[in-house]
Amino acid sequence: MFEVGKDIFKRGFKGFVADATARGRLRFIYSLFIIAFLIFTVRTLWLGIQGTDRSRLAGADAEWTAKRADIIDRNGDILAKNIMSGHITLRPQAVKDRDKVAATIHQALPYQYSLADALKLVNSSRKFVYLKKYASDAQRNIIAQAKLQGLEIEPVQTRRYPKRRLFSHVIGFVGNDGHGLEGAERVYDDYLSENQDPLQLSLDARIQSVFYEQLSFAMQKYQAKAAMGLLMNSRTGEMIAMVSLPDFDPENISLDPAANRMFKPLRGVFEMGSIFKVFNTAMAMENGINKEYYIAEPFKIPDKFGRTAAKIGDVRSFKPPRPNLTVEEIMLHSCNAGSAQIALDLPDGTQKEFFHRIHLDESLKLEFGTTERPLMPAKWGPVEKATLSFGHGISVTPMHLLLAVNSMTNGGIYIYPTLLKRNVGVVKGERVLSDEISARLRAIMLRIAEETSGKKARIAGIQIGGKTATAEKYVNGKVDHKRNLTAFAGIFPVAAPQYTILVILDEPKGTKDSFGLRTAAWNAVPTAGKILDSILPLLFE
Amino acid sequence: MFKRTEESKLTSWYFEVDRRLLWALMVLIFVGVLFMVSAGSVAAERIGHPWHFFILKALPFYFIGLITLFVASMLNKKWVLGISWLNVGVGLLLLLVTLVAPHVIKGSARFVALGPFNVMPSDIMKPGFIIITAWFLATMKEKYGKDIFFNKEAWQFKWLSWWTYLAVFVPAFLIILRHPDFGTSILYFAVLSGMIFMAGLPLVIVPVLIGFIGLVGMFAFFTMSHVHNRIISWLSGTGDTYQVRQSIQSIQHGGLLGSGDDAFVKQSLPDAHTDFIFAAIAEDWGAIMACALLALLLYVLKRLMTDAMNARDPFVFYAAGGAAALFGTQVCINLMSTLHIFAPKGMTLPFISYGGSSFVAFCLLFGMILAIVREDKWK
Repeated sequence: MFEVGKDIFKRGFKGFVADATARGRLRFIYSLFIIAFLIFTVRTLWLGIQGTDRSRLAGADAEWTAKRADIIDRNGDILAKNIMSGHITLRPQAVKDRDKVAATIHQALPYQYSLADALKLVNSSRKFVYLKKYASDAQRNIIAQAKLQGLEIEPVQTRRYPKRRLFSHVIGFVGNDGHGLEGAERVYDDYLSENQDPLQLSLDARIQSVFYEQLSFAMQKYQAKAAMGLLMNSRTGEMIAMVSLPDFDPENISLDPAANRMFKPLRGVFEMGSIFKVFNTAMAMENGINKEYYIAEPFKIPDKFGRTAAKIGDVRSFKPPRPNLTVEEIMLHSCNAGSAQIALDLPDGTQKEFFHRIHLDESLKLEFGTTERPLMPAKWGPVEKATLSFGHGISVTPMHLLLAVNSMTNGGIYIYPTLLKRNVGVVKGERVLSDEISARLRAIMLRIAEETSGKKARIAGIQIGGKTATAEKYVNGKVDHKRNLTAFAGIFPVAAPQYTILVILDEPKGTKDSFGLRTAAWNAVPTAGKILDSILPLLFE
Repeated sequence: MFKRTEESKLTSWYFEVDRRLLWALMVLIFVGVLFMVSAGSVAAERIGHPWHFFILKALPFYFIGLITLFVASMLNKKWVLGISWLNVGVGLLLLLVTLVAPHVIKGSARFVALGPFNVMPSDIMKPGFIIITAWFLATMKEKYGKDIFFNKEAWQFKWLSWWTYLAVFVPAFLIILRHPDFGTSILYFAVLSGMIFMAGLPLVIVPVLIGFIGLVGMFAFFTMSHVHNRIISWLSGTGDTYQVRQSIQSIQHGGLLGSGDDAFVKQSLPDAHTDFIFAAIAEDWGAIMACALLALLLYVLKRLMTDAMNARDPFVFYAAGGAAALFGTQVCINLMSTLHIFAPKGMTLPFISYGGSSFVAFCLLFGMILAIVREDKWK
């Protein structure tokens, strides 16, 4: 490798003289580059010379910060607002009256700079110093009134969220460039950056704060991993409250772990459990199934060889009033064995078609974001049919569930939700269920809230209907009885629903009050009850 | 250590190699390291890491890169060719991997995760591409005489023909275009055009080539939305021009003499340590020093040019010329976006920007160029 050239004079230094065109063309390319570099040099110098004139730059700063419309809730409460602020800057070399500048600095920022510090800064060789970023009004006023050369204010605008964490996921936040990165800030970015009028959302800050308070409380009390609460107007599709915990601080993004930024009601999929019995019962009613099922023993699903492919049983706490139950009673007592038998009695393909009808099998493109894709069973055999009837083997987002339950109970109309305040009443939706079946479902849901698992959500003054769910989670392919997802879906007033509520707790633990039980009746339902109790006076004022 | 009277292999290497180019590169790398510390610490704090985050991440690359540069510059032609083939082979393999198992960063599938590092195959293939193309053009010339483009023999199906070359590089080009990485495809295409232009491409073809670039540009403009958006926002000065505005503001803020190390618009300048490093340099040290840096970059180009002109072996001529074309084009694309002369296109500034695989690739390329220039001159 390291051979020293021995015979450099034998062949001479320059050999490649033959190809004159090649040399000419290389020179041509080189001259193109020289021209380009000349342009770069001129441009850099020109920009540099422009920059020495700082007054021009200060004007440009303000101009470049995008103005952005406010966001308000349905009552006009401010949720997001641009605030004018400014950095106090010092250019020591431009200062004429050093003592006066130092005195002014000390006067404006007495705790940060002593007079000696300020003098030292003014006399330093530094070219540019930010004395105070995002200075307060009073501080800026002092600087502005002093009108000293070298001591200036650089105007900036910042996006403030006065409700802080309350709306973290729904409103989202803006990036450094002033454009929305998440939530409503992202979805309505075009409107916000082009308009001055505030954007009015359908949300109600008062109700949202009730949700927030109760869910935070529940999350702490039951040591849950996550908590979600959604409230929607059953007829107009307006979202009144959307809370997902854990959350983040929109004004200090790096404070909380990035995982908290996931808006679970839209982006998380879960096996929702027994709330799916609402759909199962609706299918049974549509297909005219009207008989009693024997449910005292676990139901065995035979495979094609006659062996037992799966055994569908109920939780130990399940005490059937009679060994044979009707379709209505199966939903009322939330019986798995009965639901499985109903599902197997349904004609082939009914389930698939029904789930498609209520959009449980696709990602929803909503006005305020696209939901995660649901996880559907890979094959649709007898065992899958049976487990789907009580909400296992299918994972959907809370938003899917809320909209589907809403369509089952509001008279059978599937309505897409909105985040914007709607003034006119009912919106057009798709009919997915007959009015009559919807009324029968509501009757069962009323009894659930009055008699069985939903009792703790019952409140004075209004009749509510609901369905609870306790889903056992799969961990590494095995059912883990200790990890549950508990949920309560409610409607009120039950005779003619106006609102649909969904409360979900992820992995709540048992408490002393609940005798160590983790089922929905002991955590999600009482939480929903407390929320309902507080928001009723606000909703029906 | 380095005395001309001494007779050691290291000494002879030092006096035979193109020392001026080597020193120019050293200065460039030094400037890069300085800015790595200054702009990188700001960038790291911006995204919530400790100030030394990028610096620690970059250190091994600087180490590997410098070793690569020195070792490569001591090789001979046979080794250079071998390494280039290896480089092209690995590059193609990794490009195929991006199709199968891409490592997506910021919405682009152009990366591959190799252990702890994210490698961009189209980046590390650059040295091999230049050396092999140069070798190919030189060998073709030797075999088919002066005209290798309108020569029937050169287009027959055999090993040494255009078909082999196209079979190797057309798939690579298509994969890069599919990533989508419009900037890198344009870079490769420009460098290849430059090299075959040097190799005596008939002037009739030149308008065709320019027309082709125009067509591809039009195609990209109308089918790739981000290309469309960027050009429109450059023309109209509206839309999402935040980065560029910040970059220009940064340079203006620096003034002629620089704003020192304290006040940074660069604190809000995205990619201050990679694509927009020139703006950060201009802000810290001022426009005059930035122009000195431009002069240094131009000096590197000039050295490559001179080396090519003095070469005896056509292979060395094409290789040095190709390296000059690559270096120049990349610098030009980078500065065009930083200075807002044309629509922005992410491209690193060779030797200065933070970007591990790109830095090592450039070290390898320049090391190999130094090696073949030295061998050509002294053996």
